[in-house]
Amino acid sequence: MKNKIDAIAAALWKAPSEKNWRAFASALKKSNIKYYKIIFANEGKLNKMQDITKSVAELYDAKYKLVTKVPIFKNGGKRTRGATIYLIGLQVSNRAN
Amino acid sequence: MIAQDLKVLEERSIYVIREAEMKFKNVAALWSMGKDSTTMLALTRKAFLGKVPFPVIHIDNSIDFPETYKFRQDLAKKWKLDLIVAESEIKPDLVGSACCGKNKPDTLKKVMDQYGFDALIVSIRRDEHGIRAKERYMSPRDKDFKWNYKNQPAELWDDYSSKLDVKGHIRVHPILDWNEIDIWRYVKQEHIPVNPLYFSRNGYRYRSLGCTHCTIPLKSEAKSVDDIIKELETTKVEERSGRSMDKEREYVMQKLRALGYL
Repeated sequence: MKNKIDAIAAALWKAPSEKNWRAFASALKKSNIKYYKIIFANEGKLNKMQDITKSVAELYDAKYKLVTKVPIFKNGGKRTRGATIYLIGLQVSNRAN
Repeated sequence: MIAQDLKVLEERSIYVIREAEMKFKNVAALWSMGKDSTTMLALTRKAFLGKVPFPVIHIDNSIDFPETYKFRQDLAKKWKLDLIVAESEIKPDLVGSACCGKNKPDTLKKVMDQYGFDALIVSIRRDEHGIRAKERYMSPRDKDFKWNYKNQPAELWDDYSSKLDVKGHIRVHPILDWNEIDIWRYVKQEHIPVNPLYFSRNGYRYRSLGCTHCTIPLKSEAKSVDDIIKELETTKVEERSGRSMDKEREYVMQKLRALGYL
């Protein structure tokens, strides 16, 4: 399963399309991923939609072991939107590490 | 924090919501999926026999918490809400480090124009922030969303202004008099569903919810509504201390609200 998630995450980094995000959301339900943590680039400064393309969501299992990292945007270019909606089902990691 | 009589607060809020629905042709409500706007929707359901008779707008910058999206999805279905999701952009705002100062009002303007809403129900409370204490139950905004807080209509004997500038709208604030602990006591009393982010995990919980970018959790062990009420009875931490600080400075917030910030 980890390989599948990794493969889809890699596809997302290459092309964060709606189709790839839907595939990821579907795989997420069957995975052992439980928590997420969003890390914003540029010391958290968001001045334009494009800035979220440099940010990342770290995904952890129930023991807070890092499983994979995914982007938090979809499409890119002129039509960049956030994609945190595809992480539905996960809980925010409140842990510092 | 001093708890107030929930029956009195509820009656006043329901009166204001019914007045808004009666006085205006085209009403909408803003819903951020937080405890306040969800409580406002619960009050609306109580005012209209289990229905929310107007559209509910979520201004979505697309980086909200997944828990918030899930909550929106579930409750919109359960309460049969007429939900309008308006996509907002991320642009620099007046204070630099935050990202929703001008963008959310801009998006709201587009939605208001598109649907022709003349009144907007907003779930702000006076105790949240100094500038919000200057609001009225029904507060006019001009066509550019600007708010003249130095010249507002008086609200004597429960008579609320419904006079509009050309192409302006009225902001309706039915839970203006509630404070944070009242909201949680009402959530408990009415079994209102709330976003799970409010409850503590690993020693932290979110007390005021924005998007993933501007909200940080605060230290807390409150894992249930009862725990939250107990915590609020003794806390000296400000409710919005987990929100982007630049935005929360008194003058900046006043400036933002005068320009249409929500």
